[in-house]
Amino acid sequence: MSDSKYSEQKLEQALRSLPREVSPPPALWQQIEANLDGHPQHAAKPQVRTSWWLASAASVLFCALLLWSTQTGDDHFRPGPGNEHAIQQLTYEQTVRSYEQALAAYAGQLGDSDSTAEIADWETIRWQWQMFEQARDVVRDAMVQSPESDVLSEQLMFIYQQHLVWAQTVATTLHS
Amino acid sequence: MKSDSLTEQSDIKQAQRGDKNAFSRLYERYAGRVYATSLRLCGQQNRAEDALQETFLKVWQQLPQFAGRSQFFTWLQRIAMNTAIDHWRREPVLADIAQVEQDSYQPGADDERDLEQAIRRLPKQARAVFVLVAVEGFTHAEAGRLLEIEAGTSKAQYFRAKQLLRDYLGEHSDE
Repeated sequence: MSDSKYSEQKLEQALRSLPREVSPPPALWQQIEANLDGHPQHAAKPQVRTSWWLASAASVLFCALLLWSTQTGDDHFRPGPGNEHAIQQLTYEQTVRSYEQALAAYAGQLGDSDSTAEIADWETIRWQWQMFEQARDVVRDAMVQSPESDVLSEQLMFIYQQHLVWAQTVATTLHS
Repeated sequence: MKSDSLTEQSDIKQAQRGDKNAFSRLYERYAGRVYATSLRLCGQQNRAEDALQETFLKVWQQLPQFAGRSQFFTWLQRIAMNTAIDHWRREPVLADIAQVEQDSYQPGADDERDLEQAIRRLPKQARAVFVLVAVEGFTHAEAGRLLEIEAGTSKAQYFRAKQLLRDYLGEHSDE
């Protein structure tokens, strides 16, 4: 299978000898200490940050949704009777899996050079795609601040689902 | 061991009240482990240093919310892992190999150093999967969730990483 001169066993052995700790440069603590502002209880509460991030994500997402639905008049896209139930049945893992796979497929379809020339509002579609990505990245960044926030996890899942539904709708429209 | 735990609890309580000396003792206790993970995940010394700094600033800010329902290190490690992964995400897909070679990091014996350097030469995704699964002990499902890839992709990247590491280390042992 492999003609490497370094055996699997040797790799396992080297792996076991990897140190659990590596000393960081000594000056790092001083830099950290200089940025510890005041009493931690007086630091901004994560809830406030979460609300801010959520508001940002929601507003970006809202712009994309509004513009899309206004231009197409497509009720199927809006989460509501008809597609809301199906969306909510997806688990987190299914959503991540679907998101990674489907988005790559839709990106391929949307990027097809033969069809893009015929789409009058291609720039709008690209802009909306970017809006979804920005909304997703805003929530991902917020999750770094508050990794245990259920609200943010739900928000991220919602954006994934909405991005997928949007991409699916655009792809269907283009190929119908 | 028990007194260690009591000392830690006391340091946490004092740091929650704003005692920077107590916080520096928590830093001394855990910075090495956090830095090792960050360095391996991020692949470059400057990114790992940024991730370490950011981690401890977040820990300081979030300490008042730490209620002690989990081990302190488990809580800290979760923040550290998310922060390191966030820095890893920002890394360009085509990493700068020259930067890896310029970094002055040399942890110890040759075998260890060779493997550390080889891990840092791995392509971005293969490196992250290898570090999470082989070094940190996550399952492929967990690694997949953290990196937002499928468990199957994690497995494939893991085998790719192992093969590349054997190739890199094999080259080195030929010299």
